Amino acid sequence: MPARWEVSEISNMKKEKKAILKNPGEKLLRVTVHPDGDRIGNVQLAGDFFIYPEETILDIESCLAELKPKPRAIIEAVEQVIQHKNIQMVGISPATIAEGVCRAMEEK
Amino acid sequence: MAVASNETWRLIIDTQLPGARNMAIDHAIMKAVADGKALPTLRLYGWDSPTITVGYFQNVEDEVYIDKCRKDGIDVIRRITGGGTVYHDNEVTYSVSIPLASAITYGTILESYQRIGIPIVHALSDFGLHAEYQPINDITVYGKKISGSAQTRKMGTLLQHGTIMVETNIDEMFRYIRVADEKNAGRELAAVKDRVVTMCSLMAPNLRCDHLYQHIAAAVARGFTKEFGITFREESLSQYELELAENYQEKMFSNPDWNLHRKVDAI
Repeated sequence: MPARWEVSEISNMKKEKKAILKNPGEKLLRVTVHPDGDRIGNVQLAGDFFIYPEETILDIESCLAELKPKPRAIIEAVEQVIQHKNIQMVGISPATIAEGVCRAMEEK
Repeated sequence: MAVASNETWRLIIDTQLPGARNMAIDHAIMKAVADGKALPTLRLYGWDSPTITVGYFQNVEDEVYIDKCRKDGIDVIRRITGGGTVYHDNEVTYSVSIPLASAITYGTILESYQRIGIPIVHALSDFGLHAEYQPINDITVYGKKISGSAQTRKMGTLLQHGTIMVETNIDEMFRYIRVADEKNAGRELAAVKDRVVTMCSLMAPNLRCDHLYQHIAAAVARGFTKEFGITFREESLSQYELELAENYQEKMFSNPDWNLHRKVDAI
């Protein structure tokens, strides 16, 4: 029996939005979001930047899920995780993450 | 000498090996250093066939023409370090695994990139090349990238691996690696290719590059001695490291779940 796509899965696939940015002095950031209503929802951050420890990227991505795409709120949430998890970033910054996520959310 | 460490390190000069093996060995050395079972280690190695590595945070599909890689037998392997996509071909690769307590690692991460990059600059100068460290993680000659590096810090240990392009085929490189417009400010592919350079293209036209590998490896070790006063003891991998490497190779670096999706079962 062929696999069937659930309606919600199709809906989610359609909602994928992306942004790519490279700010001066930083590395390339690719943002993929699957918005949940007016919230950011599921986020994936990819690129040639460095985050230490690497595994904490999951904490950074998940801290954004419930937020609305407001730069100040995103920056504050990321900075909180950075402090809490003792994260160091090279070639990427909370402001760039906020810019990338907001740009992706604005994609039509 | 910026930091007088005067430490004794192990030097491993490996042959050209498969990509998954190379990444597994670097990981195993890092673990052995972390466990106190190995001296701080400088390893120099090559690749037995063209191989692509992608950074920890990259999406393979975004970075490489994966179907073309599969068709042409180019392995695509995810590193445990961040950073960008690298086409490994006719290069010398180095890896440094040292405790974070080492004098070389003090200061910011960016400073440690620079500090570990300087011995590579010294090595290139042994071949008459005037190289410079360019933040974040590049070394350039005449403004063109000749060496890149990536660093991770885990278990109280730093691993930095980096490339020195010796006779890398730049045209082939860009047959497999995707170039994001945003990264290259809309430059044409030819202009992007022109931003990287190999040792052999800069040196005497009649030079036999196939004999350079051992000389470059030795020059890199000398660079660390010159910069940090390191004394090297040339040794092989221990049995502990060989077993770790076998495990990492099988469960991570030969595993599509890791290489394509950054998923790994507990090791």
